[in-house]
Amino acid sequence: MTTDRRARVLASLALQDPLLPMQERICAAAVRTLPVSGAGLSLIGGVRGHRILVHGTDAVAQRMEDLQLTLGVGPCVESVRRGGPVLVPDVERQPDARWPGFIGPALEAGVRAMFAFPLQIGAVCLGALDLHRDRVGGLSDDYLADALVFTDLATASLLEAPLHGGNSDYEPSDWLARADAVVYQASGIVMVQLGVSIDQALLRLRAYAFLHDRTISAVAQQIVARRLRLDPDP
Amino acid sequence: MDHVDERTDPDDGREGRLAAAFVRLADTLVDDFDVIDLLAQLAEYCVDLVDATASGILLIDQRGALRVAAASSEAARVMELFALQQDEGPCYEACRTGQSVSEPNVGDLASRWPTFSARAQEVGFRAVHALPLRLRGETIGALSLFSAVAGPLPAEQAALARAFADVATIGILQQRAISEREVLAEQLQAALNNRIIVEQAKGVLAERHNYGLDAAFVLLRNTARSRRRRLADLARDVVAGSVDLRG
Repeated sequence: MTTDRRARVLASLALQDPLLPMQERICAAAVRTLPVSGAGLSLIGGVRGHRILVHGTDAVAQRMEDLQLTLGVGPCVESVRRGGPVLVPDVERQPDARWPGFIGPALEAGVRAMFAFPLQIGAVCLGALDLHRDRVGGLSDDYLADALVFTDLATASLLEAPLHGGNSDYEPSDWLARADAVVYQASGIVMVQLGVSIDQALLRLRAYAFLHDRTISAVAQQIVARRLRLDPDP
Repeated sequence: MDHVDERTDPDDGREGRLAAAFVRLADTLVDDFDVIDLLAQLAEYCVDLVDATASGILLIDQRGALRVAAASSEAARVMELFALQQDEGPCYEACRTGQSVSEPNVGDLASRWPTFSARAQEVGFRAVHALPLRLRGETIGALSLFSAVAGPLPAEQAALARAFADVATIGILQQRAISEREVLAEQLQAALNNRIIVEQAKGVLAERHNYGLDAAFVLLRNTARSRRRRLADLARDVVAGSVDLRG
């Protein structure tokens, strides 16, 4: 079921130039696999949550990013704010009041449909994967599922960036996709214990599990049961 | 997720509460539709009106995986029993086959689903039933019912559970038809992410106030209700550190 889909998406990633950074490969593979014209991956960082485009497959992706940065509205901005995907199969049919000043310029740039996916893990939002298309139409269930897997991979890749440092051999493992409630509870506990952000807490869990050759779930259960406390010194 | 407690008058009688339940469900369908709100309400009705000890709803997410979408109890051990069924057990089978699965004695399940059977018995459940959420050949998830009493689900209660499940299914699929699928897909993903935020917030509160996880959830839920805020929004603020909940 889901493992087949993930394997297929990873295979499409493997077809990309291995020397490219993971974020670029994800965007390129997404454009090849999905019925979209272009893709952009943006990061959210800093204290004020500024967005910057890390990679865009074409000039339109950059234009969409710039527009939304200037106006402060748009499907991608909304997806991050709402904490969920924003799927727009027909940009022209949207009321202007939804994204004032955005729709006209988007249509001028040739964009007819947009699909925005926040790269999020609960309260952590690392950025967004934004897909655009020069034809009206939505994503089928199958393509939507693929897009979500691409989103998962991008999220894991960004989260683990400090661990792999852009190493082109890096392939995100599926721990994030399989994480259950106890992992998230543990990340909340670790966040308070170590005084770090929640994404750093997740990373610390991951690093500890890797170092001690245990599953993240097992480590999380120990932390939640108060039988394990992570050391402040990394 | 604003939960208005419908069960304010215990003298209402079961029939009155049943009628009120269906009126409320119908209202949910026509008004500002919120998938998680609908399912949470459904889970509560199953406990109150179907005499289940605990109930949960799992939905097939956009990737094809089974995810817990609502539960009548946030107690960790109960939640674990629902989560276990994402990979195996009655709900998984019900989704796979599109047929109801009824196990009147969880002790008999030890060889087929050892972990599930052991955990269920630890928590004190004796029987488990799973009804697929299904309409015209499409299965979108399952309703899971646990009972502290062994034995099959009485026919009348099974019919009622079936009715609740059908209402939920129709509501979700109707919304999908009206909104050209996109709104439902957006809602489901956001709702599943909201659950993660709640779990993160439970951890934060448990550590900050030296609570157990269940108590942390009760604090979160009660504060959300008294401050009239959506549970996930408050949870987000808790994780961000921008709000403090005095226990």
